[in-house]
Amino acid sequence: MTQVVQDIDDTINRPALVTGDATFQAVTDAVVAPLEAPTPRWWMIALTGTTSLLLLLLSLITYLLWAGTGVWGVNSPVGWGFDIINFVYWVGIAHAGTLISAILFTTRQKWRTSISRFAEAMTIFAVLCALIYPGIHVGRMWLAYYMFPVPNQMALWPNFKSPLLWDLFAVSSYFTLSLVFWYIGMMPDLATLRDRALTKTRKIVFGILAMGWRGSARHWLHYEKAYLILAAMGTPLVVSVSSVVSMDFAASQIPGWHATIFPPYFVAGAVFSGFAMVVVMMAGARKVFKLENLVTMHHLETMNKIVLGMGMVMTYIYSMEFFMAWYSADPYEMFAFINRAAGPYAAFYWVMLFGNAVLPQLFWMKRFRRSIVWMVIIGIMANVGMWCERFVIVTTIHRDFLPSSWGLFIPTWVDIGTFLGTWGLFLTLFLLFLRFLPMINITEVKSIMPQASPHEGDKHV
Amino acid sequence: MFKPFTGLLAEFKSPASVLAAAKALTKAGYTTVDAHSPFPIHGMDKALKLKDSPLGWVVVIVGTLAFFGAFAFQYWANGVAYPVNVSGKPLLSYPSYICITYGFMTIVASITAATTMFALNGLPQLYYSLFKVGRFAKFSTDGFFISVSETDSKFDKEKTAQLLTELQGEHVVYVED
Repeated sequence: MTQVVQDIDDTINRPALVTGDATFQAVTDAVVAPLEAPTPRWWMIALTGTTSLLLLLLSLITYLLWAGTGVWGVNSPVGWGFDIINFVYWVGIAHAGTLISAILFTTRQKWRTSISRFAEAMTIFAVLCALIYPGIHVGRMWLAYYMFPVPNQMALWPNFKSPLLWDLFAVSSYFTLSLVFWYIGMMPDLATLRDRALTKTRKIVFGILAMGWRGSARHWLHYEKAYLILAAMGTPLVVSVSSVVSMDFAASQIPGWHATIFPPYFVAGAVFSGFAMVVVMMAGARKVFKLENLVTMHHLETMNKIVLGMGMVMTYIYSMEFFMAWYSADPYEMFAFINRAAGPYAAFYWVMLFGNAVLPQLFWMKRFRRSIVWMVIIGIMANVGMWCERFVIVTTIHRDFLPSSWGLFIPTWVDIGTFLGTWGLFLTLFLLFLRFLPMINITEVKSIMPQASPHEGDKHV
Repeated sequence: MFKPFTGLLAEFKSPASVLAAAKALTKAGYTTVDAHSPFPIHGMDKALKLKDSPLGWVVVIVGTLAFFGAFAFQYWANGVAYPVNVSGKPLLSYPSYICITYGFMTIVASITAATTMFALNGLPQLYYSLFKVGRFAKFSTDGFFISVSETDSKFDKEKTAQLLTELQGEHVVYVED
């Protein structure tokens, strides 16, 4: 199959995916260099900052456990505040990884190889951040195990018909698959690290992690099959996870939380924010670790095109939501949407619209798609916009049918601190990843280089 | 599970030369030829006449069991053991079971795919005699190797070594387990 793609590429004449000194050795060296260099000072400083935030997260969870859910700003009518906003937000960030590794793998997009590992790592860390919230928002978190079908003396089982339980299974299946996929994909690279190890500790640790991988043709046969099956299972998961998450809102009766458009809406938003995040992080990492030959401007530009595409889907959905509200002829539904744009939380609505629908339009122009500064600005604003979108959706219910039941959700310092804390967790794990594991899939990048084809030289299109 | 290896190891310059050598050796009647490369080489499975991996079937069977198992369990828990009436809907309201059924199947199938791959490959196997050869460490960067086991019926230390050299193999060594 590689050959088929190779032939197509020869006829279309696409830009080279690996530039500069394009030998196998050079690829390994470029990716492994940051892991073998002495610990950089900036890394220590950054880790100090992120672990401080991580400590903040642990302290605030302890405080929540000690004092109760009252320390959060949630109330009636807004019963889910920052916990569900941030849960959905982190699940969204995670999506780019699976899309790049699963959908782009099954559709044989060769450019995915140099960004897949990076994006998959983001997926796993983001899902971890997301998984914290369902655990702690249940109120009595020492009973959180009730979410699992554990046999108990009361013969009670979880209510499998509840969208909240679907959520749990959707996200944990996502986490399991992403982790397995990440590890299997990394095994040959761990063998590379083992074979190059300069210290005994590295030799032992990577030796165990690589499981004695010896690149045997018989092993590759089963390996490639397993990888393909995992990718095939990951492909529907990209769409299903955010769809299931959206059911929390779509399956209710309250105005603004009763829409069949939610599943595709959440999936598009998730891919949008995830890709924007990968672009931002990758633009920084390739500069810091001198990986410009492996993650070329072509890669970044391609990702920016996907950001633009998803931004257009978001724009369509934002308009369609208003249309459906008007078309429903339901005064409560119409009010909910006017209230989003002109109510007490209007600022969030307009930031959302600016970040997700207006700003990405700059990517229509090649100049912006290929400008690091602009793609970082647009990427960050896309993520701010997407966070605001989740805020807007979750707080929609602050004004439902009767004005007597209206209220406002105002986040407390604990809410905000916990959110910052999850950033601490995400970034800490990410810094550790950058320092100790190969951030680019060396094996896959090599396999798409022209000299990797055994039919090198002879054209048989 | 543990696979010892004693035999010859030869190094090749490129994916093309290692593939050609694998084809020639298989044609000459060798059956224990194995290639070692930093990435899978297109066409190597055919060159070595390897059978298709049965991994897919294992995953399909286990995944199907997990799928129906999860569905049946949900119905049993909420419909039989402790019937839960939600808005008067039937106890076997199957659409509401799909998300969990699918999620559980994915969890089980992905773990099955990984563990089956390890089992079929006999991994983890931290010791392998080829690791004793210093140059073999190149296989994970840019080295392409062919190994022929002495258990092969056609194996002859001198003749096979000569054949490997004729096929442009370099640094031919005899490795003992």
